[in-house]
Amino acid sequence: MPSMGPEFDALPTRRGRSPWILWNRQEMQLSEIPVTLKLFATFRRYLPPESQGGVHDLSVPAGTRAGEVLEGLRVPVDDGVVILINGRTGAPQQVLEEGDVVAAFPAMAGG
Amino acid sequence: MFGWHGKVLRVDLTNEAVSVEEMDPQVAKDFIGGRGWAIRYLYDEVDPTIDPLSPQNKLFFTAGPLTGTPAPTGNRYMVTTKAPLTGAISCSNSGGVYPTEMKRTGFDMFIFEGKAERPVYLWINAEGTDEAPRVEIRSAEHLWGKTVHEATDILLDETDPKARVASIGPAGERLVKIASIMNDKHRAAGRSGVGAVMGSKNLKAVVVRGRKKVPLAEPERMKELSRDVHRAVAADVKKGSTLREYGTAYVPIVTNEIGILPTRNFQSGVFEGVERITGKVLKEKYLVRPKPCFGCPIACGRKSTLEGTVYGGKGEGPEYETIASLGSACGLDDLAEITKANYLCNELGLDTISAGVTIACAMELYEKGILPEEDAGMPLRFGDGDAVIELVEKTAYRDGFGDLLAEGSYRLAERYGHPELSITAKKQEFPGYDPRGSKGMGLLYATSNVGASHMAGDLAYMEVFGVPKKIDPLSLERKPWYIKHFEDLFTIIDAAGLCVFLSIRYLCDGTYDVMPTRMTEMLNLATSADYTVESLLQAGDRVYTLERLFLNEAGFSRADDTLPKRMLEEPMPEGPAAGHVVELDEMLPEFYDLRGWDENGVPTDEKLAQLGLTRRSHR
Repeated sequence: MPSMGPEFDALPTRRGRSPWILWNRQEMQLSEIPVTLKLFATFRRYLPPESQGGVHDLSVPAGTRAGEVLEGLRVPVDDGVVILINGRTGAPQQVLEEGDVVAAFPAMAGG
Repeated sequence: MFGWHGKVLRVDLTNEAVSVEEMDPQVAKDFIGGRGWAIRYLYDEVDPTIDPLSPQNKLFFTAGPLTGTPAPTGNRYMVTTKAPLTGAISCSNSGGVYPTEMKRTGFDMFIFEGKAERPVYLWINAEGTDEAPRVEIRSAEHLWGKTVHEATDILLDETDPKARVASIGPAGERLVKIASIMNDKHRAAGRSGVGAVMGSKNLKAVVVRGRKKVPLAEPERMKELSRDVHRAVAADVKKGSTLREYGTAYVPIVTNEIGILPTRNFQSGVFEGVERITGKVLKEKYLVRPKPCFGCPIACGRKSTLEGTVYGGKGEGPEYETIASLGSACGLDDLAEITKANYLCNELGLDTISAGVTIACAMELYEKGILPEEDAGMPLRFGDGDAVIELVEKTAYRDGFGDLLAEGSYRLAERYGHPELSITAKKQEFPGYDPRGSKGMGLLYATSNVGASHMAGDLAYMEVFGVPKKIDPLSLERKPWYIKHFEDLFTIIDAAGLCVFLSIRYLCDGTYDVMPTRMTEMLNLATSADYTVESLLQAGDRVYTLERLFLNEAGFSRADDTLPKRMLEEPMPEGPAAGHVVELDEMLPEFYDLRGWDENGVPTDEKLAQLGLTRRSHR
């Protein structure tokens, strides 16, 4: 990667990430973070056609909440939805972090 | 009486004699029906210390007051007995069409006692609505050795094609401790070895035909309420019903996501092959159509086919529990192999959960070098579908190594000096939720009157599925209360003759407290028993506590309310539940306190007085 100039080179880089992203996150809150969405059971139909195996990788603006990601795909976010974030019990208002895996399915008896 | 016929059929197999008894109306109300009536009789009539496979044991088939009524899913029956797998009681529940037909014979309960000299079957024919039902004990010598499917076809031929059959297979005949009783060919009262008790009595099948309507206290209002519930279910189904579309087979992907899908004998809760064994694959490759039990608006059953695979054949299933036990617990990621093993279990009369988890235990013993290949007769590696299929058959016939598997995983692992590798509670194999990642289920498995069972009080509804609300499976908060409450609730559902799938979602109040409001209303419209939510919950508590007294007198105490070392001491190695064990000691004292049991797990005199129960001295 070519140097972007001394002011960028001076910024610390973590885990090989571009300094651009770090700069954006710190200063402008405009950066996007990668998250993974999994929709199970009858919610699979809300996945965009390009997704594979019930899994959809996407980038969302930092600060996005789990419920907003689901609503973006028209998943009904109401009492009848179960949200898991990294396999743990999640909530629609939970703010997502980089690399989070959001899974959702309709509340329904099983077993 | 309303809701109940108030009639009990007693079948003395030793003397081949039948008699009819009237049910005491107060006992009927206090113990609700189904599982409740059965424990009242079992406790009063059976010495808890007997050998479960001796003629002294008794076997109860019981319907509930809502079985055979318009109540949605009011179509379940219970099999209760002293169980050979656990030495505790069994409360195995099944649906299909049989339970309604059974109730329409005009009896709420059949009691089988003694032992027939030769193989027999029972034919109960109440085709005429006004006459007394005809009850015949007939020879089953020509049926002995037949599979469930063969026996059912022959029985329908020689009785009435419209009759319904509950039968054991070769496994029950051979007293396999994980043998089931199958009804309508594909539905199972599966757990705790109930099929072996039937086999020990030389009773091959119970065939029923009935047209007696169940008398209802408020038939019109009952119809209205049932219609309301049906409408609510139908509206949800229209929005997209997971159970209708995928059956319970949709579950592996969910339990895997939270890291509790039994994998390789519960060594992990995360299975790399999960995508290949889930409901989507079943739907795309093997599903013929959804198949409902009688009168059920949900239709979670799966009519499936293996035609076009190397196995061929048709049948029903697999359900989630079967996929978890015969599948991921054995490391299998091929749904055709799992389905084939499922078909065999149904035909031979084996519980799929215990069969799968017992084979999984054998595989771990083998892979750890504890079980020699010459004993097993073959290599037993996780993921070997052919081995699983072969072992299911060997287990049912007690053939070779199958004779050891037929005793269940605890006795198998104990024989090889490693009982801790048996994933059981009270010697009964775990269902499909690793409790290290669902703590309430851990407390349930440890304390349940039937040994490890999800149906004893399935808190996975809340911990996993969000019904009626989602709670954190890893937290211990309020779990003792929930388990006590769910045990009472599931006891009521079992006793009433309802299915849990519908009852928790549509017949409770939808709050975090899960109060059985509509269930109470429905029972009152059927029976005129004037239950309140509180008195109904107390009746559930009464039934559960009496079951516990039977267990105490059979020798069970706090020491038996435990889990395998793996669950208590070995942290889950990976996934969202990584690092977790079941903190049983933190939950147990509060649970005992809520139940009114002392520190040894024995109901206190005060508790018994509250419930109107007394200890009886047994012989």
